[in-house]
Amino acid sequence: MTFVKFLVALLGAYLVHLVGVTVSPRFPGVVDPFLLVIVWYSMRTGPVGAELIGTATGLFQDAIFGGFFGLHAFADTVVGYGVALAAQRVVVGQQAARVLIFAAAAALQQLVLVVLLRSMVGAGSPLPSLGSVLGKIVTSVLLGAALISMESRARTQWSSWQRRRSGRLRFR
Amino acid sequence: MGGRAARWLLVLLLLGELLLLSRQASKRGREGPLLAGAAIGVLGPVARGITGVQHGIGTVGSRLRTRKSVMAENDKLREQVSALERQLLRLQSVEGAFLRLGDAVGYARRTRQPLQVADVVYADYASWLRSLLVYVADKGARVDQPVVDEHGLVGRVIAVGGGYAKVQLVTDRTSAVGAMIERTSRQGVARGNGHSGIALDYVPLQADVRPGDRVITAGIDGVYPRGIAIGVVREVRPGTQLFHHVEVTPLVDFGALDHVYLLPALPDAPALSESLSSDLR
Repeated sequence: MTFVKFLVALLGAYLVHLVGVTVSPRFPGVVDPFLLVIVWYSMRTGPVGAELIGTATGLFQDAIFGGFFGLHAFADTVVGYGVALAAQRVVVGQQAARVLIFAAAAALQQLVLVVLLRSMVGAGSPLPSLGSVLGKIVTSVLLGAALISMESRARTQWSSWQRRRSGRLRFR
Repeated sequence: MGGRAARWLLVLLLLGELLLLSRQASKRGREGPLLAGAAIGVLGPVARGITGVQHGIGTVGSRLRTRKSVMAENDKLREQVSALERQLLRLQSVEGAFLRLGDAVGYARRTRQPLQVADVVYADYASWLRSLLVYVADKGARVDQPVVDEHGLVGRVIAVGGGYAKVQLVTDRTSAVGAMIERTSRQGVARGNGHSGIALDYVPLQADVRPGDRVITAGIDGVYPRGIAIGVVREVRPGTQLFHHVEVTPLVDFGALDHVYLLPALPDAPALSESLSSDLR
């Protein structure tokens, strides 16, 4: 079931990417919906699952973006593993900790991509601008915080609905 | 134990991905990476469907708003088509005369290559990669096929999958095209700058190059045939000790591409030399 939810989330991220690219060609340089999917599911699973989630999402991104196939797969595998490790060591129940994990994941992904490009292409490799990197970190933090807020609100409403439903059944 | 398994899996996955990356750095196959091709074949229809729906909604809205101006534009376009048809008739007779003259003096005339039309599904301008996804239907495409539009060179096919192909634009940072100044036939290498421009490298300081010169493909790189327009020289200034720094403005408006044309891929060098050898026998 979790695997199906992950696939649905990946497809949703792809739809967001497509709509964003149609609105503005600079959308992928600032917003990374796939990173949100990786961090979200990596926080909820163990390191093994997180690595596989990162690899699958990265290969998906490489197929869409072009360039070197395996570039994002490498970076997202590292990010998935790192997030899963951080989630094991940090109390992720606190919202601030989760938001920090989103920021760190975005920064780690950009760092790994830059290092890989430099080592593969050399000194003339195209590097993202500092503004683009900061923009991705900021948007990841904001979108991650929004997702966490929506999830906690949905959980609260679901549990109150369940309590009301079980309360009605008791008095029959 | 779980931690150890996770570490081993991480090492295996990263090694596999590094191997995949390193093979692509040197490989120049006709189909590109298999996984990339398969993924494009699966994801391409989804992307095309979504952009088709968006295009349809936009078309309905604009039609409702601009019916009157569309009718006026239709009349104007009919007149333009008539004028172009008359011009085409005149040019066909000029072409016939040119071909006869070419035969008479033994000049190797340029062959008329078939153009394969492809619809642009979407353009992706990620932070450092410039590419297009195009739909070629069941005609198929091959890696290294040159891609052009009415104005000039767009790029080349770098991956194919199903009825879709991914095109690397000439403005991409990793793009390099054998080029030359049309006026002086001075050769160089046209490299994309990762934004919207092109730099023409390896033009010696003693070469005659000035703003306004047209830059075309030289046909020396085994990918692009000779004579396709790339851009116009915008600025020339001293670069290194040996070469000019030449900035070129592309002739193609990459933000307004709706459909492109794929040219036949040039034959491989071994096949070409074998063909030439058999001709000489």
